[in-house]
Amino acid sequence: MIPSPPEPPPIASFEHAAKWYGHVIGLVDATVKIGPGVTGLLGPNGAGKSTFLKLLTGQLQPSQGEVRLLGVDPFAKPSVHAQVGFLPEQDAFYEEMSGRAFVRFLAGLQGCPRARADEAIERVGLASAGNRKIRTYSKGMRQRVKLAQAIAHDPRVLVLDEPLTGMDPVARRQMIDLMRDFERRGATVIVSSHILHEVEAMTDRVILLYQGRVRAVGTREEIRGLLDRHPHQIRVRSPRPRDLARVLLDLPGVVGVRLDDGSVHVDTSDPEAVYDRLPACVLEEGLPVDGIEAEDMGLDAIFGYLVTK
Amino acid sequence: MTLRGFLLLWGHAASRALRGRRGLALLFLAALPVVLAWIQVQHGRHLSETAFVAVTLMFVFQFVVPVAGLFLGVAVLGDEIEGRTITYLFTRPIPRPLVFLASYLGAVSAFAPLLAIAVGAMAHIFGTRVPVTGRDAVASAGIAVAGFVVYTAIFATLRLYFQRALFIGFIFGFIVEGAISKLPESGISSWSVWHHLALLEVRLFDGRLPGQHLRHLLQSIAPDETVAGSVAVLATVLAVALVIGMLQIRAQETRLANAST
Repeated sequence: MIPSPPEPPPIASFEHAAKWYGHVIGLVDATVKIGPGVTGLLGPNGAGKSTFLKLLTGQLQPSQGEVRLLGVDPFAKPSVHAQVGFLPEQDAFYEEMSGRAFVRFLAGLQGCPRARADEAIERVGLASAGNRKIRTYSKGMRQRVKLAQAIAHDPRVLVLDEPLTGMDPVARRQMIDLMRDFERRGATVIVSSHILHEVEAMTDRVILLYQGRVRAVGTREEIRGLLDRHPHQIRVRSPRPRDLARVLLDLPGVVGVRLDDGSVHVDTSDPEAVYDRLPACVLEEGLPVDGIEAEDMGLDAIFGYLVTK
Repeated sequence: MTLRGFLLLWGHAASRALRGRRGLALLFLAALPVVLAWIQVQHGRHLSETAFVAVTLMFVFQFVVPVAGLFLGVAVLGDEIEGRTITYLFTRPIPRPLVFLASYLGAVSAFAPLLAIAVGAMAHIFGTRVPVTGRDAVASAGIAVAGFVVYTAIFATLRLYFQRALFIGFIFGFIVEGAISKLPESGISSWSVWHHLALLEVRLFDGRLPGQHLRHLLQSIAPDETVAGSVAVLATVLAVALVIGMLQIRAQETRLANAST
């Protein structure tokens, strides 16, 4: 019998890792392994995403347990950062510098020549604004310059903390394409977000964090499956809410309705069915509808459900 | 970690040290002894032969040097921590102690030339009325720079322990040091940085200062205290402050990282 080849070591791993700041819990008993490709870190604000990424990038030392990045303790071995690019969440810069000078300086600390920094500036679409001072940049441009300093040295591991914040749709698309490009080249991208559809657009692999704990690790479909069993609330505004409520109760998956000030609040276990069939029903019955919106798709509500299910 | 990275950090810290309001304040501070010397020389009818030494001891060493050390020391990594740009530096392949050291050297190298020029100019102005040689000017400038280098290291390290290091540094630099230097009988005065700067300056003018004039200022200096001893004390204080700072920044991550949360 031929023994199977040993499993390659993970790019990053957390082994019962915990972090607390005095009495405040940052992360509790996290055990995960992260391999090549794009992995999304999903959770509402305060879930522990930033703590997770700070532990991963060696800015913090775990209070308990172990964190490994490329096989070493990133806090004790800063040399690992030669292979890691990090985009921090906070909007912090040397404001008096130009974008180009900023990226050149930080790339220089990685041992990169200026030409590589200039390439990164071009790659994120800041070539024409590269010589302007950062203090004159828009929010989206500031995100791009942060990205440029993270990718200038062509890292094996790219860690991005809320990278899409403040970006317009075109820039978001470019950012996602860039991540995919890194993935194709065999790199590992770990990206955090508190917005579900953002993570869905970026990756198939998701780590769910809530209240400092890893709640689920899996593919996008697995996570979606968990979330879809959660009863959603949809609010439909109409000048004839009673008539509308009667129609809505006949739709599949609808488990209850509530009337409130010209609106119908629908509880459903199958929100897609409501969105799909509502227009046809409305047309058939001749009911006017002013607007439809999801009421509790906020991650807090979803995670609250996951925790209590 | 490359030498290039270290030098880049050094240059980065030096270029930021004298920016903005702090830069203006430090330029003003460096100009003060020159202006004071000019006023004394222009308007002082009976200028004492010890005027240069007295101003150096009582104004440059006791005010300009610790204030400059305080302002720049607390900014060594304080600016990066408060501006939350420390995250960029701590996610590079450079050990944190070297980030601290390069930033310290940058801050020191930005102001030290200005301080030396200011003391030199002050000596030149006094030299038109009282006996001050070129060697005195260079040596006094060197002593002032040495004091500045030591104070900056102390305050840079204090900043890693205390968020309100400016206030604590002020208490240390002016109240504690001032009180210590006025306790000659107990021998405690030799625990102050100022004491050793004063000793070096007085030994520089040994035999050339009229006996009575500075006696009340210098009574704390014992006859058996030597230049080599004071240099050794200052070098030790400098080394200890920097080593403590480097160990502190390596070990205590929470406060620094929380600043960027």
